[in-house]
Amino acid sequence: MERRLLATACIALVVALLGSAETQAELQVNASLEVAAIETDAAAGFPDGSLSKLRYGKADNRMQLLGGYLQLQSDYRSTLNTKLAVNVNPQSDDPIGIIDAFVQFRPLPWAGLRMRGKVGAFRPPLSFEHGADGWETLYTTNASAINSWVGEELGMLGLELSLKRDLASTGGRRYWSLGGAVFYGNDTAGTLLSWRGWSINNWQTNWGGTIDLPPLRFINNNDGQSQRVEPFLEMDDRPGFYGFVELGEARRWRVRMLTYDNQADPTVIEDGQYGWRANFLSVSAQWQLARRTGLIAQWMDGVSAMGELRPTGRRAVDIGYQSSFIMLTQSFAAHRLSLRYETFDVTDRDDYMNDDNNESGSGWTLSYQYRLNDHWRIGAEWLAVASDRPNRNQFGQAAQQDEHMGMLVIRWTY
Amino acid sequence: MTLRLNLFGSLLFTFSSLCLAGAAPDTRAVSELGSPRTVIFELRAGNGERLPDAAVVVTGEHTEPHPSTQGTAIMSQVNERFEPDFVVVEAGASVAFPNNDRVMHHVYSFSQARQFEIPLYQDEQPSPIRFDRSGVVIVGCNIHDQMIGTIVVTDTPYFAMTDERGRAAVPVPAGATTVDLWYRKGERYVRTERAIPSKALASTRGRRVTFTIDDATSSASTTADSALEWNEDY
Repeated sequence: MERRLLATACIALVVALLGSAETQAELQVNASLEVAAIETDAAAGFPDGSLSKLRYGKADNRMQLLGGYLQLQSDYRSTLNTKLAVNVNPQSDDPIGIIDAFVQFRPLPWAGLRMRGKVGAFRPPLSFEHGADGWETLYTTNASAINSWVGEELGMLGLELSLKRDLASTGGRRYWSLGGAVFYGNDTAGTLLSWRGWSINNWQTNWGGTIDLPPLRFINNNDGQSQRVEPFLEMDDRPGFYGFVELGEARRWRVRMLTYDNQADPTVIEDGQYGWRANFLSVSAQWQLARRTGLIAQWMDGVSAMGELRPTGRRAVDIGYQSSFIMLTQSFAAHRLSLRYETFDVTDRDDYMNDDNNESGSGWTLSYQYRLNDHWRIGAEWLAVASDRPNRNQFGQAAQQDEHMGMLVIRWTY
Repeated sequence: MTLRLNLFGSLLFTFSSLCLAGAAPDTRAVSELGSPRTVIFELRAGNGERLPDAAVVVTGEHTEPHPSTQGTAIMSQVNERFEPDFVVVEAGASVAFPNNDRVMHHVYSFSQARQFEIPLYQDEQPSPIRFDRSGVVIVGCNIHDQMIGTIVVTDTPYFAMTDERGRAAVPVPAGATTVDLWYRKGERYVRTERAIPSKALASTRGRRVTFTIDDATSSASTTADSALEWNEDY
């Protein structure tokens, strides 16, 4: 159903966007492509069915197209914004697809308040690491584990509303903001975190796209479960929701707390996909320490479970997951240097001993970017991720893995 | 000769009158004619750093007829910021808002002194906005809510912006004894009133007055290499 809805919405969007040339609205086109030379010691990246924390493995050590996007956006007096973003993910089974398709109503401030209403396909506003265009990472090439997961498994068709104190019309220094959404889709959220675990990458799942799961014995023995997860499915027609509150001071600091619940029925199974009841709490913050020095941090804690309730009070697969990161970024003219440290854990809470989804790990990311001009940026990034995941034993690997990856990145944007 | 006084609680007030014979114009004849005398105001932050892009506005009653400085000031949009983000104009003057970004902006103000809204599509040069009433006008952008600009509309032509050395040459008419200083505090511009030292007004030689503003932010943060992005994602 959600695919038909999305297809209809996208056709309407394209008509609206093309029609905007005939009206007073402004059509804006943005595009980006990113390639990198990769050198990693990981045995195989997770898209190749491994339990690696990285997207690439030794076999991928060469130039790779990381991804790109084409985004069309139309503004009518700024109060009606229509956006359609097409993403390229060469490692996906669906390499070209939609990541954003929505219409946003943003009237001028009224009574000192900014009201926003958005309807369509979008992600929850969780990441301070990503920019608005094509949901591209700003400070590093690979996002933190938390926001990598957001790119992989979180997306919805929904209605989002928010209210924010307007600084320009109130003359205030600090603002608050309240918002939330009701949505369809995303009933499988947590599948990937359970069976593959956290990852540090720049993957974006396209609408209707899938991500391969590792060929675990538990999945193979479970006839109902497909070998891949389709993250944006709606299976029980029960809308999910998220709500958020933000406090901040213009260009100084902001803190956002978001709570999410997909309201999925964990007993539903459809075409090899189970419903996973997922909810989490996330707190993200950013702080301009000095003009060229900034700090970004985020913390997330949640649960996800699927299957019938067992006599033990647990469902067949039941996990808790936590992650946090802190990143320091320093800019100097066209140069930027960023350093991020993160930790991540998955706690297996169910009683299936043969499906051990426990995990713990930590990672360092060091990234340098140099902006050559408005269109070209080059950079170098180095990742070191140490993780412990007992389930690697079933592939004949040690549970404890230290993985490293270096990237020389060239990015073109229009 | 330097005289230091503590005034206005925590605000430190410093007055310097530098006797630079070579630099001092002969203003006696001018002041005798009743024309405004030019005073050089130098603004410094509490840490001693100079304060560029601040403003000195002569306040109080002064009845001299004044030459009109009405014209068009510019507050453009660059890298999703107002550039400059602080403009002082005399009532009756206009401000143009050219959009130099690749994205659209929609500039508005709900301030009492002037209310307006103009969508700024790319490559479009809308008519400047005229400001007839004195007061403070805070402008914002409906798309980028971290963009904030301040326009001070004065009812006097006796004002000037400070240069990169933190100095402003301001004509001070007879009878004027106070100035408003507009300076950056964090991401905002705020005002403080100071008395012009009588010695500066009485002196016929080079007049320079230094004001130290303890809570001023010395370096403008309106640069493209700012550390963080603040995009709106909802």
